[in-house]
Amino acid sequence: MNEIIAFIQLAFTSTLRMSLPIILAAVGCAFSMRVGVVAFGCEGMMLMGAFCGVLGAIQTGSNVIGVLYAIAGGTLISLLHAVLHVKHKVDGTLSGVCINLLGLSLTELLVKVIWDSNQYSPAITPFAVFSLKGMERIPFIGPILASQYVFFYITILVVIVSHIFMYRTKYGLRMRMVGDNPRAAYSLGINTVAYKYFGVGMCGALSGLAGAYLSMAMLSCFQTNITSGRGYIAMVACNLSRSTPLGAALSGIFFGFFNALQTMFQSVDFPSQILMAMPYVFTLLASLVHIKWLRGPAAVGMHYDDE
Amino acid sequence: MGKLKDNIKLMNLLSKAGLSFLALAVSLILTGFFILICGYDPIEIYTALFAQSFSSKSSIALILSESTPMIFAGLAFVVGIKAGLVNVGVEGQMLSGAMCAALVGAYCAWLPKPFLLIACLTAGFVGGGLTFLLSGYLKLKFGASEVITSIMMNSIVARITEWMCNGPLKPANVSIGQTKPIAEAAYLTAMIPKTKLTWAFPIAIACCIIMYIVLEKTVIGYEIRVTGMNRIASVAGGIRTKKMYYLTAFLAGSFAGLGGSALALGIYHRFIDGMTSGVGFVGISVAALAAYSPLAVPFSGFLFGMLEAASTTLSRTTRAPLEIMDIIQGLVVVFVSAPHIVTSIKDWKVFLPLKRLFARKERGVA
Amino acid sequence: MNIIEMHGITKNFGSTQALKQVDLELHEGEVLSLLGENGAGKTTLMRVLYGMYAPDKGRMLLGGNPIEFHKPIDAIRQGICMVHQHFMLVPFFTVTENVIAGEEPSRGMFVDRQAARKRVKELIDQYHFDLNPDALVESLSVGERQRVEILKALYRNAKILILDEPSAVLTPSEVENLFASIRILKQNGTSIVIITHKLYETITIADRIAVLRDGEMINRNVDPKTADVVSLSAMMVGRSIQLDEKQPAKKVGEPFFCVDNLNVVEDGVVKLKDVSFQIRQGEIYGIAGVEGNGQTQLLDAVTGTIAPKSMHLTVGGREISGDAHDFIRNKIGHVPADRMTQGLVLQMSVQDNMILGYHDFKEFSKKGFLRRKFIRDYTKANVDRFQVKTASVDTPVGRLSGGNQQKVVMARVLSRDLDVLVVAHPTRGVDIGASEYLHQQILNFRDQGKAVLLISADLDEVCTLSDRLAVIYGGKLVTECRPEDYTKVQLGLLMTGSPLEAVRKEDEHG
Repeated sequence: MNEIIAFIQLAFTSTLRMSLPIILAAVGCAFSMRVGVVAFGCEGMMLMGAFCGVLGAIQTGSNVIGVLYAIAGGTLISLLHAVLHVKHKVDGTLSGVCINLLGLSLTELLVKVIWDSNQYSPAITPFAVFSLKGMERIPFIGPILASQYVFFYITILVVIVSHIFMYRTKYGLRMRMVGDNPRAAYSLGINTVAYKYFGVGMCGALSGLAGAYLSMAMLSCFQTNITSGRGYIAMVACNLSRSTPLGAALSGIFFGFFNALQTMFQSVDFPSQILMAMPYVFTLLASLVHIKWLRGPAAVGMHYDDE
Repeated sequence: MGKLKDNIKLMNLLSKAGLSFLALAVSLILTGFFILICGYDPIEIYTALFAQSFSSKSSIALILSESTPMIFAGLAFVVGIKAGLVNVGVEGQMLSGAMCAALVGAYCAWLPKPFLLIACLTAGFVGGGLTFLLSGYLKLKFGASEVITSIMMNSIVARITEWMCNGPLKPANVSIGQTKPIAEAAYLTAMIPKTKLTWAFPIAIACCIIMYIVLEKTVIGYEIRVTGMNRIASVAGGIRTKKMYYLTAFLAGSFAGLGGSALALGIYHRFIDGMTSGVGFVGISVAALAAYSPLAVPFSGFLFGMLEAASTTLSRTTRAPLEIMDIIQGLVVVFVSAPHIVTSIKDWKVFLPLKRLFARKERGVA
Repeated sequence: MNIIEMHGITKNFGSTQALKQVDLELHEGEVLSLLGENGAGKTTLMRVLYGMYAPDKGRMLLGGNPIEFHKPIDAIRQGICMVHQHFMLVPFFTVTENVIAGEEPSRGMFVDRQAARKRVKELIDQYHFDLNPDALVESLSVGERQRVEILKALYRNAKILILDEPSAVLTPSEVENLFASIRILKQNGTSIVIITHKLYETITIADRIAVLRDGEMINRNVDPKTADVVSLSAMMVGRSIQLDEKQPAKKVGEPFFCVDNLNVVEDGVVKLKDVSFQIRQGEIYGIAGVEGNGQTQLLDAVTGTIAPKSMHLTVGGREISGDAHDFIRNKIGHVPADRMTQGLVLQMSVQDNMILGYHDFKEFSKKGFLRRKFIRDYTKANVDRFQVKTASVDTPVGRLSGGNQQKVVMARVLSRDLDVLVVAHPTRGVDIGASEYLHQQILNFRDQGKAVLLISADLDEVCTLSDRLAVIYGGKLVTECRPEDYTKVQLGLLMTGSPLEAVRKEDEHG
């Protein structure tokens, strides 16, 4: 009996751990989508974040500052995306591809230039598990919570704050209007360009944070292509949730769950790859269903001055 | 009048090509600065790059062989976009094409020689085509965006092929996931002995030319373009748009599938897990640099192939980090897709003093 | 008192002069009608006032103080609001959200939903707008959406309201509602500018009329009480045109184009119910109706663009079914309702557009290849014949003016060997000169003994051109008659759903 409980606890623990980066980046994607910018560059932004986090930690010796570096790095490269797409009207998918290409090659190059290594950065002291005194004594969920990093609580905060921001504040209302009908927003004096920059910037910041979690908590160094497609997963998760923060959290957990299953099934004789394909198949099917009360932004890729 | 029109066409062509070259130049310069900051000599690296690239027959062969899958991938994106389908699933289509070709090559070895190769290529063609056709079907039937579905297809195909070549199809005594080697009769052989330049390269070029002719000169091409530009008008004009979407989706996927087959039949002679290593996404850049014209795809594919080849050859002569080549790839696309950045350079405030100087000179002359 | 004064406004777009030294003033609390043909510069002038365009020359005064706007929001802050022809609404937002966005009642950074809803509700009640503040905009009718737009302006304390072609998308009863709203607004002291090209409406609602032509102010002080339609239209087009000149059919033949039992259902909604009619050779059959009553579906069904639930269509005894591909091959020509989306591919050249629908005919293609040279010559011949003004046959058709675009569509169809012409809104957005030309082309086609089905939202056009007409309402053909059987008022009543008997009775009384 105890063994079963321990197994379930382990499942929850690793599901949460695996889903955090996807949730963070997916909420970021939701910001980007809600201002009408396709979130294709998420992968590159995560990579920049993962890299800058380690860079900051090594330079300053402080992991907290490292995380700030990561957020800054993600934001910076996302602004390039914004300049290309919002200012120069490049197709969002294409400029996203640019960001992903640049994110990958730039981090590879910098690893080599700064640390003279082909793949890895020097190791840092990773974030320790964050647990309050006596927390592990809470029945059942105690051990699960006690083995999460501080990022767990940050993620919860990010999801809730993002939801309140989007659906309760006036800035959220304006932001959603920009993603749904930029011309209408412009005609009411809403600065659509600024909101687009903001949304893409938020996508960069949150993706950067997600990247930092990968390199600074799950691993203890930067590794080239550390994200291995998680940015795309985040984009897909965001799509599954129709670009809502709460939905993004749920779909992030969904993807994380399958990720966790894969590691747990490694000992069992079941092809883990098939398992890994399942959330995509599910999402593929889910994208075919239209839900009346849950809808993504209507004007992705459109600008206020489109005729 | 006819002459004037030819001139207009020529000018359009030149300005497009000029833009691509300008973008290339700007990104070379920018990367040069970057190299300088990193503490290397850009001039040394660039001279090495060009000298190396054209130093011998074999280095040119290497470039062409590197560019072959890129040309296929670029063409796959170009064809899709003509009917308004954004094909970001090239990567997955290449994998499924490669898998299909490798399977036929390995398990239908009893076929007589020329037929085996043709069967392999057909399998790759159809495999890639069906992969994108599914996205096209979901778009038409359920209105699901092909960007999202083809991204998901990338993951699904990657996982399934990974499972196949790590599980049921994996031969004994190998560590990396792969399938049984294909029969020798199914090899796409080298054009120049002892190089990796296979007959896939002329096939790629031929595909580009054929697609140019199909799109620009034929009725079907006309119908595809009309469908891509205005679906409502094409319905009213008696064009069977669903047929056009399916046809284009299939064709776009097929070229990606052929690209995968070229790798499987020409280079690796089997399917290897993750063998496309991101070429599918580079294909989007190739297409952008080619301004979505099938005829320009070989040229931009060549350029990207040169940068790719340089990453392997340069390491022998310089100690410069070769990821620089990838950065150039990324930047080129930035500048090609945002021509305004390039053309507005002359308006940058940095150049104001220079402009004033010139203005003064002109006045002085006057 | 003049609340707005515009002096010497000049605006150029490239080499074309859209406004030439235009003066205009708006009195406080009046309804000013800005009348002119399409392309006369009405909308441009108002967009200058609204801050969307910066004038090249000229100055504007608001209540005596000079003003300069860079963005619409500058104008909105000064109480100048504009309701655009294409509504600027978010379908998935509620009425309240659409109204308040940008100026939300708030507590700190949070939207005060109660206050917002209350304020919107108050406005709705005050102006008798009959809207539910919590309804999603996507569930509203066009007329209701327009009221939401006006509500947006009122919420921002508009002193001056500009309405761009407000009746273009409305049913006659909705137009009545709109006029009622406008009167209430006027009583509340709002000054209103209506941009329009509809003479009759102008005379009904305006206190004063200003006429623009080719970017020049022709007369800005016409009194609608004394003005007559003929003199106003003369001012609009700059020459005396003969309105309503009738050219009756010369020789009408046998029933040729016969539609029977046409039913169309879209998304579970019945759009056309048991529609049957016959068009004879040498006759124009008009369909009069308010947009949204099934005309679009009727047009699409008889050209094969949509698949109806049921339809029995014969042309000269031949039964026809299938999609547009088959209909085109059965010599049914189609001039679609919306040339921009349905009729043309704007990015493609004139010559590529000239063959759309006929591109795989033998003369244009050989063994699957397009015969480029022939297509070019063919297009040139047609451009000359139909007097299309274009720089070359390689010019993208999107760069042509509306009238010339329409000529391309008409030329494409009329230069073919047709049996039947199905034409919708042949002169929508086309200036009067080109309209006359296009009308003549349709009449000539009829006089060759062909059958024409004409659909138009312009009742005048239908009445003038048709030899027989049917009124469509709610997806059914209400009555079939000769244009002279009813007065326009009666037709209007039929179009808006008054029962036939009631209309006849009114006739007796009247």
